Amino acid sequence: MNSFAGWVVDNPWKVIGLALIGTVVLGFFIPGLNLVTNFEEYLSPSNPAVEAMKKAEERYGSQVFVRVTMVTEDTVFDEGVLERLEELRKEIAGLSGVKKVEGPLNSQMIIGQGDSLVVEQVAPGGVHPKGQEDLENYRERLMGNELLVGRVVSQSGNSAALSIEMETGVNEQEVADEIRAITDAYGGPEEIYIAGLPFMNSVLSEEIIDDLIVLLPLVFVAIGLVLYLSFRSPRGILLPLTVVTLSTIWSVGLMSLVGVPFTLITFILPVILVAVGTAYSIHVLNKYYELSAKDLSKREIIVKTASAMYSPVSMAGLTTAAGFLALMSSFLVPQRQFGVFAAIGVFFSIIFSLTLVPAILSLLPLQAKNSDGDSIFSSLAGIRKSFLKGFERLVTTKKRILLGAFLVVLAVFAVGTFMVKIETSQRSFLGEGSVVTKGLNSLDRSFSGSNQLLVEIDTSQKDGLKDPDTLKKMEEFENWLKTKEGIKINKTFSLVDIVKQLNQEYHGGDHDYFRIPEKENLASQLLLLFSFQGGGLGQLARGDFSAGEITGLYDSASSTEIVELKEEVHEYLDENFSSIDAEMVGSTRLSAMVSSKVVSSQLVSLVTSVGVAGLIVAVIIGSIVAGVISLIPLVLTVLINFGVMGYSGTPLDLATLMVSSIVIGIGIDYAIHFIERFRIEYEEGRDEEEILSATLRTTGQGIFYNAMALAVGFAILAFSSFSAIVNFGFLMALTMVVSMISAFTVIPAILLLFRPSFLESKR
Amino acid sequence: MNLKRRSRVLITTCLALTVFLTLGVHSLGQDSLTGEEIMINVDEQQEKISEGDVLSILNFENVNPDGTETGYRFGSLARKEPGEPNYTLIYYLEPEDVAGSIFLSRETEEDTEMWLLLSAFPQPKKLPSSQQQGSFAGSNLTFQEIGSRNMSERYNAELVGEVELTIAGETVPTYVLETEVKEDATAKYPSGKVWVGKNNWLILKSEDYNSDGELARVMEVEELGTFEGKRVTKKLVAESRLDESSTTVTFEKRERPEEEIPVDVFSPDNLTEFDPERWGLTQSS
Repeated sequence: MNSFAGWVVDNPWKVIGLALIGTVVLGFFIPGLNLVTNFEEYLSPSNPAVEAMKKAEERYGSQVFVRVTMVTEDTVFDEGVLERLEELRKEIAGLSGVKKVEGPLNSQMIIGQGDSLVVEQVAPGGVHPKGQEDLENYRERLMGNELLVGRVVSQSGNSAALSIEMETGVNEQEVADEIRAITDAYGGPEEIYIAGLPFMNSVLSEEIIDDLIVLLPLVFVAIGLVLYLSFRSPRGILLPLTVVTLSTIWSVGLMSLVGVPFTLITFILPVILVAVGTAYSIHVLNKYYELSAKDLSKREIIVKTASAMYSPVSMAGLTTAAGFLALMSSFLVPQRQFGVFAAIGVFFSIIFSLTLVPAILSLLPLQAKNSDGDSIFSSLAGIRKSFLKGFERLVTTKKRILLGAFLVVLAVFAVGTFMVKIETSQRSFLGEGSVVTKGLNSLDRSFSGSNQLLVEIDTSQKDGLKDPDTLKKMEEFENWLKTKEGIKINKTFSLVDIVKQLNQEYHGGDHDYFRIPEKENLASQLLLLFSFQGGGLGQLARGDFSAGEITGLYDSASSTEIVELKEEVHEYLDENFSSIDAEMVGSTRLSAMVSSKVVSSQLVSLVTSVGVAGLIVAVIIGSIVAGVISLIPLVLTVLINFGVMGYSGTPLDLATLMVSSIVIGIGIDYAIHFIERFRIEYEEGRDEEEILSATLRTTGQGIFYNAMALAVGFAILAFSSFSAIVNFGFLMALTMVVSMISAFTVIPAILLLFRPSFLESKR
Repeated sequence: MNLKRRSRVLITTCLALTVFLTLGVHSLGQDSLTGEEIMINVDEQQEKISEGDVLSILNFENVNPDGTETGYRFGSLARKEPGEPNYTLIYYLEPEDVAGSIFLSRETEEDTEMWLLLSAFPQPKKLPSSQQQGSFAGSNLTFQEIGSRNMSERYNAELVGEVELTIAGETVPTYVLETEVKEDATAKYPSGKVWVGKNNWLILKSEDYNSDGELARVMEVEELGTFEGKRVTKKLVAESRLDESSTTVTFEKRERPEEEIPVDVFSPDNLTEFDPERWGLTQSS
């Protein structure tokens, strides 16, 4: 190790040059980094829900929709309002990538008139009615159509909705951006809202960039402040910041190079790397300052510093990386990507801390330990000293009480754990104040709901859907959806509704005929007539009528409710569609899939990270007991994390799902360092107080500053515009502090009370 | 060479010159045809083929935009007499669930009326004339194209070139025209390009552009048949370029019915009385 450290010190420009070349090369790829906010992309392509979605897209076109709602103060049945709505529709329909825009003026309706039956637009020609009489006729036609009320016009008649279908294969987000540009420029007095997945993705992408613009400088300033308070020297601030900047550029550049995008999860990677990656160069600088007080040459000091830090820094980094890598067990692709690239980022931080920092230090004049006080952390020394002294007294005098209290806290927060709610919706990720949530609320308030339940009925034979028995089964299913307990399905529509309406209108509008015709072939012939009238079925039926989709609309619901809905629907379909393939497709199934896997994914990643962390400690210290003891404060930290979430109502979502795995990876460092130092002091044969005092004074202070830096770094995420990231930042900051406190209390209390044999192994 | 022999040579030479001159003049005349004249020839040829009573059986095979396939088999009775409206009655032979349904159109210079009788219902329903440009039986052909096409009335045409097409191994010389819908006419595709057979005045290929100027549809004759000594389309494919759909129309049979088709067969009031067997229109026909 000495020889490598010597080479680094003797060839500083080579090391700096290599670092810069790598930075330029990998930094070159960063502008090409993609942003992906689409839920579908978060699951593996082989996931059955994703496969079903893809299949449905191939068969019926895009399964996601964008809806623009126009809310008036009074009524939409006003010439001016309808004229503006018509213009808005035309403008959106003219966008490239938009396949169809249906609204209150141009939606198709079936009308029986004398000896003819026509399928035409609600407003003739799709043009807004002019004059009071036309307006009144139009109002009657639209409000009298059960299929359209609640979809394109609200029950109260004060809101209108445009349903936008996109071409398959287009960049839906880009189209949504253009729709936003049109609605943003809308000059009418009505309120305009947009809803739908592509719009949500568009907003998310924009906010991710806004967030990075705010969070990155803030975390640099915050970490810089902590470094200033710690080192009070330019190199003490600039060297760790250089290390994290380069490791972040390398990691993000590598992401781009291998085609891994920024997602709702991975976009916080730079912020986290800046916070986490500082620790390693702090350790190196700490050692450098420690040795610089000795009577050694500059080269000797730097070589010794680097050589001495290879092992501890590598070990600390490995355990942290292991925590991140535990996320590999997650079923969500972005979490796996986050785990891998966070671990890679930590690895780069270690490399730069052990090579670039010594190389730069070798070019700078030797700087002695900061003179004002007995520690380089002098400015915080007072706080730190009294803080650590308090722990020292507590542990040495009240070990049993402390462990009892530990068990009580464990129990209290364990109860809270059962109160944790799962919420994986993007709506929850964004928070209630988001423009996306407002759009969804508008659909919930005035229309039949912002969520879409899609079920594909596939008879696997030509014209199978026209069979009266199949149509009746579909009708029964729709009725069940509208009357079942749990999530209320406000509206359904399918081929059944078209057939019933055709039957009614064919018979002069007689409502008794609003039913599926009994006789075979009648439905086929009515549909033939419908197609002769230019009627389009879209996703209601495939061209050969072998399969079609049933759509249900429902209000916003929690993830738990959506999972229940999916299970209920699956159960119903299994029981009632045994001879026909009936499968849920679309966003409801995707959301339910994500939510239902959250708990199992959390448990797997938790067990993986706990197992790996315990194993690492057991190997490093050479004792399984040490491994187990090191995990005890982490278990407490994890339980406090979940307990706080449960009691405060903070949901377990895509971001907070990662807290426990990360905190185990970082927190285990504290346990390793603390136990190692404690053992060294124990071997000296000192009394309890001396052992603890020495451990806290040396290793304890490193842990203290490291935890503070991380807590501050994570707390910066409170400035995120995403409520899930805010929660993540808060919980990470909290767990950093809890993890540190439990390392300072629980570990020494157990060690002093039980005096495990591994403490004496070296004596 | 005696006088008799010399006279024979002279006569032969004169005849040959006459033939060459006639052909030359004819070919010069052909070269000078305008797009409008070619269109008129197309309509006249169409008129000749479809005048009087014609009975046909044809298949429509559709590949829908979603990749699924549907098929129809129709029997068609058409009557075109001077001074009368043009009538077309299309009787559904297949598929079974819609067999027996009848589509009827009555086309006058002023208007086109259309009806549909569903075999399961007693009353024919009138279809709005606005549907003329709509799809016929889910195909890539419009109602308008199923009836008489009257190209010269609806389109301005300009001759832009001549090329040879190969149809079922046969090389066919064609005129290439660019077309644009006339101001007072309506058409689903406002502009396009057509390839007209020089020797048969049939439209052998067309490219249709929508109002955005996008190539929306390509139609190509894939097989030619003969009807009363005239070349006619036997198989034609219409492919949409906006989606993946296509329609293949195949004429199984085209003949004069054994008896004249009475005009009252084409009355909407008599559709329920229509006797397909009288015209040989059964599923096995």
